[in-house]
Amino acid sequence: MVHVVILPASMEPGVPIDPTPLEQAGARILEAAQKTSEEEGCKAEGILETDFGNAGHRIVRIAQEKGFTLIVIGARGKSKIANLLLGSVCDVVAHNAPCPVLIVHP
Amino acid sequence: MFQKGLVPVDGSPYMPGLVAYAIAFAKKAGCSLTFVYVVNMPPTASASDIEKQKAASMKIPEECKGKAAGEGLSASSRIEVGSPAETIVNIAEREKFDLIIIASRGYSRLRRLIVGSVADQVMKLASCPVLVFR
Repeated sequence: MVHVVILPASMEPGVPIDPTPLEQAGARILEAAQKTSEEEGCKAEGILETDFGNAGHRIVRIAQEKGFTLIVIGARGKSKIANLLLGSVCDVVAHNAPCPVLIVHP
Repeated sequence: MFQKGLVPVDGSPYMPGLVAYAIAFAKKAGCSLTFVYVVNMPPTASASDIEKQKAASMKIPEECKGKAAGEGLSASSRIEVGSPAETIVNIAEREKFDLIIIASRGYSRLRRLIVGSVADQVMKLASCPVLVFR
């Protein structure tokens, strides 16, 4: 299980954003996912990382560094149009992953 | 978890890797595999041209089916005519496939930068899970 906390670009030049509350929220998301997995009888390691920009690039890097052989990712995207125009985390992962990617449509 | 897997094949150099992976995956998952080749002809093509192309391409999915069946899997092959991504997504929806296993690259390697490849459209439009083989 991996969750990447994405920090927004600062609103005020030179004023850094405190990542702590975002990281805490990310940790809760990850814990909930791990719990769901463990309830189904599947032990899950959690990886929490913090980055800027598109989380997809970080996910790809984690897969490369740790030698994962499969990425399971949600296709989420608010609408088909927005998805086509903006591209998504899923898009970046599907195009750059070092391993096969299983895309699940919620 | 999965019962029916749809595997679009295009005869490109990437195909053998995809087929081997799909077979290994299906063995673990215990699902059947259907290999489909989509004949993509311009709208101006005549019926006889389409028939000729279908006959010439039939052996591509058939060979894949043979490989899968040789590994003890329940496998079938088919050929369709139409726009590849749309056709693949429609078959999957209509016939209730619960997984599409597709290669991220095929023949249109360069074109995908501009209009997006078949795999790209399939991952966006499909309503079932899509396993993108890289």
